[in-house]
Amino acid sequence: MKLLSLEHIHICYEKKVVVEDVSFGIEEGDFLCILGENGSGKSSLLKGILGLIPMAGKMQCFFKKEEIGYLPQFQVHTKFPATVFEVISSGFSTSFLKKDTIKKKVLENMQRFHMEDLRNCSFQELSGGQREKVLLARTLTEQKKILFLDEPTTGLDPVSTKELYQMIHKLNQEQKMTIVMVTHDIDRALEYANKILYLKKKMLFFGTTDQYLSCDICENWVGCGHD
Amino acid sequence: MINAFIEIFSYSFLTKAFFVGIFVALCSSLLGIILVLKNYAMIGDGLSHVGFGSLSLATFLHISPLLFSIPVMVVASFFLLKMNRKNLHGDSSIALISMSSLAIGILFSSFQKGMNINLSSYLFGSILAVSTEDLILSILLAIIILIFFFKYYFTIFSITFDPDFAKATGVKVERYYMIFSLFTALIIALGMRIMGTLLISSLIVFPALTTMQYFKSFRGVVIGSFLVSAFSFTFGMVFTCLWDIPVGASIVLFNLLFFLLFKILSWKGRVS
Repeated sequence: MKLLSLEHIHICYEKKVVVEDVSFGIEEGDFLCILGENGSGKSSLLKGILGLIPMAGKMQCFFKKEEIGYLPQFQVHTKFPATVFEVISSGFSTSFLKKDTIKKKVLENMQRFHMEDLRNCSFQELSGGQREKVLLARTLTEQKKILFLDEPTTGLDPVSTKELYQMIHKLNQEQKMTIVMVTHDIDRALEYANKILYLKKKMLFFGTTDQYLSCDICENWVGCGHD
Repeated sequence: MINAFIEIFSYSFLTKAFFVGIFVALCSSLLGIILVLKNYAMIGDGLSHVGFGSLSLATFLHISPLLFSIPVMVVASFFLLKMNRKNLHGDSSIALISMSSLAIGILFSSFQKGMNINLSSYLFGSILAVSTEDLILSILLAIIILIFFFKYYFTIFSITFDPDFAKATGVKVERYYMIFSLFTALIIALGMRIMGTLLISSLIVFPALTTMQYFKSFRGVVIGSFLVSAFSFTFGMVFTCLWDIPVGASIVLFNLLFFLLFKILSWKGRVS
């Protein structure tokens, strides 16, 4: 079943075209990785889909706004006072649930991500891996149909990176959650994703992982020394 | 000191000044948390200068200062917010507006014979300048701000912590920013009579900065700022009555005292 369809998408940022004529579609249960070099328009495309920046073209969504999960490329305010519990609770900002129900759900979510001990810890004092885990828990406070992730492993050590990918893979496999991830990590993308979109302002490739492995772009990109 | 506190309520002008001031201080402390965390704290300072310019112009034109300055400051607050968010040189744009407003204020006050008493009290603050109209406005505004803050607590946290996430999940972030700037403009317009245009922004900046040194949770900072603001204002008022000193300066100095106290507490916390 089709979940998202984009036709002839153009995105301009500060009078500069960053995404040009991109068309593709996502099926329910897909794990799509958006690859490309720095400044190729990956994050802009994701933000455009989420309505964070304006874009031109035709987009059809077959899910509600509340069914979207989003893990942004996050730069925390270095001195932001917030506990882990508060950060996860903010996932309910658009919910009409009662305070007690929210509290119960947050605790359940913390158990699901094995972070009960971190409840009252300061978010700014957590390690990079723990922060990403907390932000993922905030995103998944309620049942989501599609999860957008913008370079979630930036700055993480290899162990945390692996753990996060496994967690996302599990969501995709067990809960059939559709994943759209912007990443530089081509090896992991090929390991976990079933579809690849390669962007260089224009869409140079869109297809399955197997198709990607046999195309020229894949060879060129790996050949350029990208990890 | 307790006698001085009780004495405040035996004079109607002091009672009015106390209640207007405490409501303004409490609301400023809540708005200040958002403004400080979003790096918009200088907007308060910019608005106070706009306030001075508009008050000076209103006095020159012989129209109601508050009725003239409130709409001007509301428009200026939207403009400042927009400039701060879009322009890379956010602080510089605030400085530009601040200085221009100050220049307008000085120019129009110079057209009048001598330094007008009203303008002087707006610059440095006065407990004599508070009217019943101010009291009613401040009570109404405080009720609206407090209800808004506690009803949308999670949303306000989400916007302040991560606006992109909030926007992606359906929160109308821009609308909230507009509401914050509207509240800030109104609070500054009301508070500058007591605190003075030169010191009013301290009510926004000090409590948040003070408590953020010690508390690690948003809730802690909210409650702490609320209390620091209330105590600083009350002590400031009491000492004004005791020693006949300028009220704005007295309140700011108590805020500074709390800031230093929390600094020591945070050092001690780190050591232990």
